[in-house]
Amino acid sequence: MIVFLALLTLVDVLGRYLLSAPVPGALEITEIVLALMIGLALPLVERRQAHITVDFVDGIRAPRFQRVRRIVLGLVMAGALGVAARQMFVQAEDYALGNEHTMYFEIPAAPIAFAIAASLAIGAAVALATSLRPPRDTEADRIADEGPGL
Amino acid sequence: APAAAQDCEDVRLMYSRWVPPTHQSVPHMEDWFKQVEEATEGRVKINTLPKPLGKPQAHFDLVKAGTVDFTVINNSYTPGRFVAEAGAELPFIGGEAGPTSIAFWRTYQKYLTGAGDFDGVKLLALATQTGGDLWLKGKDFTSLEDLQGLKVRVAGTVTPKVADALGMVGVLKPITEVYEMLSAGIVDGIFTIPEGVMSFKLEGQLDNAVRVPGGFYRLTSAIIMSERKWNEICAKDQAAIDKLAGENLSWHYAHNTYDLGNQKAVGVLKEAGVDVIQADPATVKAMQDRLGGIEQEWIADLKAERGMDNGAEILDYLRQEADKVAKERAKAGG
Amino acid sequence: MTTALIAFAVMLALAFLGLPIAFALGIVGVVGFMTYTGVEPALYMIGPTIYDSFNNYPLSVIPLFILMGNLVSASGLSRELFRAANAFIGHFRGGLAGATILACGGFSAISGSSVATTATMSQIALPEMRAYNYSRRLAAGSVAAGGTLGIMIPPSIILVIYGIMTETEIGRLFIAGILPGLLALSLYLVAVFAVTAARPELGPAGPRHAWRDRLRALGQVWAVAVLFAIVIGGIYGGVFTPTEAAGIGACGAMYFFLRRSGFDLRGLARIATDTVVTSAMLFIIIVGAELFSNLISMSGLPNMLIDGIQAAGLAPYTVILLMLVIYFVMGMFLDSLGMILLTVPVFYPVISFLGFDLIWFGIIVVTVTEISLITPPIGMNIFIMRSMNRDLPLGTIYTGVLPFVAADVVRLAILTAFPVIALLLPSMMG
Ligand code: NA
Ligand code: NA
Repeated sequence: MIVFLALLTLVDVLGRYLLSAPVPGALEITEIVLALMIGLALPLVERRQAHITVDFVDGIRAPRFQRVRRIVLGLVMAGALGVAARQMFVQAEDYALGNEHTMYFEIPAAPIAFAIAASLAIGAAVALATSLRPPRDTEADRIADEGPGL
Repeated sequence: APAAAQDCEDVRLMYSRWVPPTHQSVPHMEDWFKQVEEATEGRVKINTLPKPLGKPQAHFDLVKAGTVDFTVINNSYTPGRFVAEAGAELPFIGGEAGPTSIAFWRTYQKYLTGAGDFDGVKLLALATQTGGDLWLKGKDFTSLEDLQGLKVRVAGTVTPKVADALGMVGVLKPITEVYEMLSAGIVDGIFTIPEGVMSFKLEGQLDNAVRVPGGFYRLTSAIIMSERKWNEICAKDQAAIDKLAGENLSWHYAHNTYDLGNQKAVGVLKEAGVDVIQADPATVKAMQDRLGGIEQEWIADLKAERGMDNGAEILDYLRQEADKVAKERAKAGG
Repeated sequence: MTTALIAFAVMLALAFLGLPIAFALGIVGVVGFMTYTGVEPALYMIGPTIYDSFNNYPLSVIPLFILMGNLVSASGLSRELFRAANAFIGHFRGGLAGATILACGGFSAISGSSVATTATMSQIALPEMRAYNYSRRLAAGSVAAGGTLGIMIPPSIILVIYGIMTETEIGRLFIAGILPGLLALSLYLVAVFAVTAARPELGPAGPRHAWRDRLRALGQVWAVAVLFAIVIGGIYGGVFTPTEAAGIGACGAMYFFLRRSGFDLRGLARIATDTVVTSAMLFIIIVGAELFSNLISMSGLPNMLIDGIQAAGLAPYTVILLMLVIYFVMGMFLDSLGMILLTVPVFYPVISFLGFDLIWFGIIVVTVTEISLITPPIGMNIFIMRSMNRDLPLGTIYTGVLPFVAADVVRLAILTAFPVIALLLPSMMG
């Protein structure tokens, strides 16, 4: 999808300059693709544990403390994502009620909001599962080690 | 009187303002808040938050949910919600912002309350801008022919259709990128009003404005507050606020923001050498023929979405009322 | 006011216990908001905040610029940047460290991220400096500091986020970063040569390269120059908007990657996935920060600060100085983005009230953020170096970056005293 976004911009700009014909409503397509792409990637962020954290207490060598901490943090994150999923469902219903849609293509907002809500719910489940699983040296650690890329 | 005042509790409202602090409306809203405070003997106060609590298009829902107490929304940002009010956004409606806004409020009271578009919030006022002009860079305008194939920045629901119908290419981009698009020649023109040109400092980028009676389109706003907060206000204070709201606030907001804003822009435009071209009657007639379909589309939408088959009557009333109020105000003003 | 202070304290406590910053910000933001409006109205703001942040055209630059940097990195162009810089100045005393700084600057021109710049350059430059018996301190310091250039020299993710938070034009912010970025680069070079002049054994000179080799090495880096010219030149010249520039830059990088990797579509897919995950993580932070700043807005803290400043009769520059001190102290403990997300909502209304330019302040904020990346005890770039080079003690890196921190403080003073350095180029735009 990200590759599609990049190509869409290129075609839009080239179309505008060379053919005097930009992609109609490229802005709306970009926004919708971006929303779906980011929304659907949320469970993957949880799976890879790609969040930015202040790893102050990571170094403390008390296995039991670390295990409890992992589980508590996992529960908190799962809870927060669960609440976010619920709110996104509420929002999706409000969008459906108000017939919210984009201005040019009249793409309805509700289905996209429902998809993000579902993705948040899956993210909550993944966060829960990840916190209960014993820590191991996996891809997650590799990504965490390489940093979030900022 | 002391007993009645005791029943009236203090209510503090939070205004989430998403327009920038430099927006023409800001001092006039502050002024209206003072009027409310005085009329309720200091019991109802409206405070402006330093930062809006969401994107402009989220504000109706935020007020409905009670997250925010008070706001001004732009109806065209959520086109699916304000189907009934979108009639005021059509081409060739009304005149100056103040009178047209009073007419808009009356039209709403007479015809549109049943549509239920503002259910769940307390509606305080309805406002329209002045009718929008077509602003061109490096292009002259004498007839419709001159517009063929021009690239213009469009937004909302009406201007994309206007651009299409007049043979132009609509470019959909956020207002924040308009300056860059004009200076780079990405677009040949934009739809806006003089006040908008001044606020976004676009005068140096533009050469001509094409103006038609009533404008090519018209943005509309609503001033709303949360029902929960409204119910916290005692009957006496509610009555005092209602007196300041409605036609009064509609005029106060629209006239001060847009009519006076446009007047301020006149000097700026003159200095920058931007000419305003009134389209001649023949051209206007040709445009009306081409754009008539947009009006028919709205009348059909109103029937399909809200079950109201009197769209044409509503538009007639709105146009007549706007005319009538403009004449009354002109007479009163001398 | 009390609510805001409690919120800050709880937020920091949660973050220090290891809760991801996005969650700490968001949870405290929403729960704190409940004290003003009750539970359901506070919860309600989560929905539109998520939807409107994801469904947001200007924010599409974030994944696109990340994609561009990742692709260029995977194409091996970063190694060639280093070789070219080394061919020109490697034979000076401390030359390899200087070359590292230059290569970091070059990589910054197509990467929006400091961490990516540090991670990429530490893989390339550290082994070379070791081979030439560089002190590990100087080697580590130059990579960690050079990496910070990633967010000053455009493109810059941090400037995008600042622009979104303060409603400042992103194109102008990018252009404003060019001269301060070059200033930073020069000051880092001065730091390297000052250190090696005092203690030559830290950075021995490398072999001299013939002009023919130099030109050949230079011939390989044209791709980076072309990408930078298209993206930033396009923005500066108004050929396209920053959002469009990001898309076109990403297409250019895609072209180089596919050509050099022999059309490795699977590699492209992997990079695309990594890019989207990193972006999604950033978008979650944006949501958390938005929720937290809603609470700050509701608490009235910025207005109280303004009132307090007026009551105390503080001169505008005294306020700036105070802010810089706060930033320096915060920057020791906080992650770059966290610092910006916490402070900008509070500070920027004050800044604009005092009549300062928000573009200039953006550059100042990026500068203090760069410092935060390399100051102990918590510096993201230092952690990156450490995690990629397990045999490098933290203490070595910390002492290694000290000369560069000094250079940064000098730069901060210059930029604060002469706002024109940041504002000259943007003022010349259309
Ligand atoms: Na950069
Ligand atoms: Na630090």
